[in-house]
Amino acid sequence: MSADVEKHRPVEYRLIDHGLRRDGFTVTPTPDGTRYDIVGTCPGCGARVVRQWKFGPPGTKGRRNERPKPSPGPRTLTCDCGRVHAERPSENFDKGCGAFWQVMLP
Amino acid sequence: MSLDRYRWDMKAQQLRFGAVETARKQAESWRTGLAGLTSLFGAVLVVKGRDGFAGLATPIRWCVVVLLILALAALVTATLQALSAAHGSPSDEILMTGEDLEDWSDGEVVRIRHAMARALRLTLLAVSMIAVAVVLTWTAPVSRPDGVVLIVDTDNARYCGKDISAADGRMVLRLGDTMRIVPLASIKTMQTVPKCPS
Repeated sequence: MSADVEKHRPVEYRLIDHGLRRDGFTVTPTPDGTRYDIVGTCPGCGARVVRQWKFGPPGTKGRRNERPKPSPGPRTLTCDCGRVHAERPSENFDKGCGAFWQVMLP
Repeated sequence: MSLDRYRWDMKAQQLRFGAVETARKQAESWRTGLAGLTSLFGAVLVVKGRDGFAGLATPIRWCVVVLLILALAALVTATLQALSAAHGSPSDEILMTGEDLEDWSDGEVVRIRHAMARALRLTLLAVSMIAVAVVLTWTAPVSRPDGVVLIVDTDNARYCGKDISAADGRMVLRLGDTMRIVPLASIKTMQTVPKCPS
């Protein structure tokens, strides 16, 4: 963990699209199929990224009750390292450096 | 650079952390809507027309009953469709990522539009059926009672038949295929019976 902190760069907050990252990230479904674990390094500030994608109710339903299997493809991640980055608007929901990118969902 | 992906991801994250509030708000909306469903029963029965339709001729009476039942079913379905469009229906889940949320939102907009169109059509159909039922109760012929079976004792005879009328000092009895006029002044006793003795 300390090694991750050392890699972190306190860059100024900027919304930058880093595109699809084919390497450097692992997207692993849990055995019970309830979530995906994503681990990698933020391309913007170098912070270690650990994120979970869970299933949730967006507020309505389809016609099936079973959990739909998400289609493989790119999914967006936003840096949420929680460290200080100058010029980050306080009203922004994300608490990272402003970098966002995509990883492939298997 | 596309900020859309960033915005959708933020929206997904916010929804994820507000899942309980969303579910509770949705439950409250559905509770209110379902309570309103019961008022439909009263509304349909209130506008059914003149007091009761039991006196209508049999085919018309059943026609009115069927129309009202179909109208009620259509109104209930329309209300559920409108509720589903307005508040969503709890049970489905998506992977809470920006891309999945965007796809779901696109489909949901189409679903809401179709649900509202169905609700509108069903409501118009139900109102039309209720209007037809009301007009039928106003204009349809009423069924006439067969009359009371009486045994009438007069000074010198006993008659049994159905009471057709009693006016102007005379009673008209139906005896099989014939009518008999009995002066009221000559009647000593009258007795209602289920049927005439053979």
